[in-house]
Amino acid sequence: MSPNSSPIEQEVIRHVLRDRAHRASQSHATVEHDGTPLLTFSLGGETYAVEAARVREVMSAKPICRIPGADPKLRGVVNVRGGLVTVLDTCRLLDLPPDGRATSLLVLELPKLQLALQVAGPLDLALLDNRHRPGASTHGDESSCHRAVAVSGRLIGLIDPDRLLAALPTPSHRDRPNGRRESP
Amino acid sequence: MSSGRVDDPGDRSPDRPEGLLSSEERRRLEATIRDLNRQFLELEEDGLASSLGELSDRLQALAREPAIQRRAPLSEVLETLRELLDQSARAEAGWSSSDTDLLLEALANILDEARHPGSWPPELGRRLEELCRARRMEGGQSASEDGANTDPPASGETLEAHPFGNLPDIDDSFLLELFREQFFETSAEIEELLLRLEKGTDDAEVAGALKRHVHNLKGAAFQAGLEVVGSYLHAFEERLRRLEEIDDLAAAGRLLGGVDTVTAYVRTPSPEGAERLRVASQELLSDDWQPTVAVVDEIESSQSPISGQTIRVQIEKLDELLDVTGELVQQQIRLDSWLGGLRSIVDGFSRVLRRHRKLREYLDAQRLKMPAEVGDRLVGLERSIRIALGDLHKGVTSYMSTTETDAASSRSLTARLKDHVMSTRMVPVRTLFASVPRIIRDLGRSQSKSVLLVLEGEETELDRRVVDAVRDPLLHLVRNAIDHGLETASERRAAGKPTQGRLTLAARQHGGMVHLRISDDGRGIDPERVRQKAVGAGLLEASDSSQLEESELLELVFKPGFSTRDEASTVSGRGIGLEVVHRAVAALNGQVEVESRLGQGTSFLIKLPLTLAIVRGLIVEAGSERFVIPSSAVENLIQVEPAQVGTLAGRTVLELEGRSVPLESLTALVGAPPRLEEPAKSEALINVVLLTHDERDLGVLVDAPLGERWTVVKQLSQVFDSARLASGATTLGSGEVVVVLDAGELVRAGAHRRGSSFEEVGFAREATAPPPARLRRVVLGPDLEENELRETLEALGLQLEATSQASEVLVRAQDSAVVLILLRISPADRRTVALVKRLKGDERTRRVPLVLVGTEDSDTLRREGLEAGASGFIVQSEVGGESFSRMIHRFTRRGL
Repeated sequence: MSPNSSPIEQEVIRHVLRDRAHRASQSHATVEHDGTPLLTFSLGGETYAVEAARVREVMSAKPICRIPGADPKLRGVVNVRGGLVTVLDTCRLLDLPPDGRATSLLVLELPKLQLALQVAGPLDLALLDNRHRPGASTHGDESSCHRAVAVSGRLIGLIDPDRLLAALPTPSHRDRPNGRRESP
Repeated sequence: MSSGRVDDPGDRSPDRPEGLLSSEERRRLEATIRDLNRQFLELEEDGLASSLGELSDRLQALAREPAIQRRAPLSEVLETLRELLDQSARAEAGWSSSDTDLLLEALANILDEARHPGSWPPELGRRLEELCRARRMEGGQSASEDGANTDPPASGETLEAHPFGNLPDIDDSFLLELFREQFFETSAEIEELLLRLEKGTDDAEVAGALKRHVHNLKGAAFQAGLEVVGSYLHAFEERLRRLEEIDDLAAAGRLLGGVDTVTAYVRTPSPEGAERLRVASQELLSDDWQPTVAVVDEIESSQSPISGQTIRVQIEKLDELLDVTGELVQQQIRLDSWLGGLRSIVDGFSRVLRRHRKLREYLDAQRLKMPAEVGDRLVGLERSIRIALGDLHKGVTSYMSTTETDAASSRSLTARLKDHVMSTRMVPVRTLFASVPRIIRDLGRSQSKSVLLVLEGEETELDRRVVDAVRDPLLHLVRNAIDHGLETASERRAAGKPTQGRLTLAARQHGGMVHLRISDDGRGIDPERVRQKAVGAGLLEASDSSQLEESELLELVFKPGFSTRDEASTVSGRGIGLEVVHRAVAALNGQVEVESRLGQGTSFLIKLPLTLAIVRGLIVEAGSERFVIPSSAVENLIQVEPAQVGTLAGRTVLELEGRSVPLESLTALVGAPPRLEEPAKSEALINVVLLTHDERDLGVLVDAPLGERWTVVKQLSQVFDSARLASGATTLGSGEVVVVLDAGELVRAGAHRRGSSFEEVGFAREATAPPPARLRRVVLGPDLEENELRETLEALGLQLEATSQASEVLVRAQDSAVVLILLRISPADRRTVALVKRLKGDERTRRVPLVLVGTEDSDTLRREGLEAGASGFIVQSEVGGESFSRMIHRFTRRGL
């Protein structure tokens, strides 16, 4: 937890952590939720969300190191406790106009890639009713990395972290000095 | 996969239609299948039997997914796929690309079927089963059975019992050693898992882990040629499966004795041990299986060559260790600079003491002229100050010397730590050479060439990452040597050579580099053919070609699009050829050279740095960003006078001791945003980093060099692969992340920016020459008062271009003649900030400096604007004044 997070962020982080602890304390089979907790945030005036369980960390603004020549959807990398985390320009990814307030970073739980989304506050928690959780029939097209869901009467864009990867430039298999291939 | 068993509550919902997947299910299914796809592709590359085992486990995990279990046909298909994999692992049959094709097709269809029930093509299932049946028959009969072979061609040649069996002079003890290492690591875990099962742990994960371990070991055993062990482990696995079927895993404890039997054999292989294992395998498979009691006494007495002396550590952990060590090295440098400060304080102390001595002498001389009590008082005071100062000086000096001693020892410890950490990353090149025999065997056989492989200097060490990165280029050269270099036996006989061709791989360390030589005694490269090909491919003018030396001609084989073979073979020479090798080696900061004698053979020499993880680099500032340029490519860091910069054939060059080096601004090359404030130092001299890479030079103009130091290069994620200029990133002591530039790419990028004009280099032209005649435009945003600005701007030689709306600014700003954008910003208007961001976010307009004219002097406004990416901010009331003129000059003079 970043020491200079805003109070609301710290509050949200506490919620997320507690929720995760709660889930972890029960065996998988008995988890019976009223809903799936979502972490909501704003971007370009619209509300978006990620499943809270997929968020590993929320950080306030950090200096981002731009990588020259990278896809514009990639803002660069930040140093998180000595490791490099790739930061996405979330607005660009979602085809939104740039949002200068999007300075908070949501570090996601993803296999292999350390990824963070640039988002704007206020950060909040919401519950997505599992009964209304869309299954095979989703709104929006299959290739999009987000889909519309209704939460407490309003429509928000739920971002699927796994699909973010598909929206990113595909790695080429050229020879790199350090062989950037991650081992299986 | 262990965390993958999250049951979605939605699954149980009775009203979910049978066919539908929950989003969680689909997500997991897609992820698993994606992983599988990737692994299959990797398997195709490395062909390791142990990965076959892993894949088989993954398939099993996939079969356990509720989404799959709901559909019986899919479970069956997965079972068939697993059996195929197991067969390959057992028979050491390798894995052909047609197998991969089939599997990938099956996986894609599994996903489709899971999503849309009923879409599974029955024909595919039949094909899989047929292949499986055919393999089963082969496995059951002897490997040489030809009659029943209905398979794709790959299987016929890969069903050899032992991969290296027919090759002389090749030591397979390395693979054996690897297996032993893996065995001793896992056997303890296997024992523990068995014990847990015996105690009645009813845990699917325990059983799963057990099976996984046994399965992987089985693959590795076959790979290492330990068939008797592999067969035993297979029986072991089979017994476990049967126990699981009758739900009596607790009986697995009785398998413990078997583990001892295997352990004894792996430690000290003996014919008796092998026999014991064979018997044990049969017992395990027989229907009336009873526990075997281990009869092993020699375990304690025999020394174990491996266990206890080596452990396997993931390279990522070593990377982290190196990172920390790198930080420590930098911390040490900071400490040293503190120490320097301390030293100057001590020196200051000595000066104070000298002054004080003067004071005392003066006081002594003047004392008699003073009233007695004043003199006494002063002398008393002086005395107490002298004593206090003396004590302090003594204290500080001794403190200083202790600190210096400690710092020196800490410095040497840090250096030693660095060396040791580096050495942990070093692996002998035999790990690199290990896969060569197999390639030679397969290729030699398919081309009817008999090859003697000679390996030299296998113990030479290289950084693991370098080894990984050079593997492909090396294997490419090996394939090339067999495919193009060596002749067939009859050709060799006709040429009076021994029928067996000779391929030598040699490694040797030369200072900080390792030289790998790949040489063959084949037909050699004909320089005349190279000449014809090069002229034919347009790489060379016919008239120039006659002037080239033979060695220069040979270098052409590394050029893009060069191939001496008329028709591409399946093995090599697919039009990419040696260029790829050249590129890959250059990317490692290495070099590759070729020598050849017609009729006598060809030799490739790869020169590689020992390590990549730590790079000595020059830290430079460009625009508002910092970068590291690897010192290996830096020929010199110089300060040049404006008079040394000129124009040659339309591009800016630096005149340097009789040669002209192209000059580029780093800010422009990397597209860095300009600095907010101008540096205070004089602009009379410019800093140029001279780069040499691949015999090409480039002068790179930087704003400020910030010193040279060792940096630990961290790898960037794959998503940055297209960002070729960045070879990695490093963290400075402050925690700031800085990009490490790829010098080769930088030089290449510099060469491609032909026609960079004087100003684009970012050079202050007025210092040497009259103002350029070139058009320089300023785009004015909507609502700006043109007349107020005209005088100042035109005085600076700038042309105004007014616009009436934001979209017009976006278009106009793309013109390369535009050197500045001016926009009006007011608290009420949010559109300007959005416009700034769009301009700064667009590749085509990012380079242009942008100055905001604020309607009021507000900090908020200023901050918002600058944060959005503007380069400067000025208040409306100052427009037309001196400071405005200076600011515009500052931004437009730089050009970029």
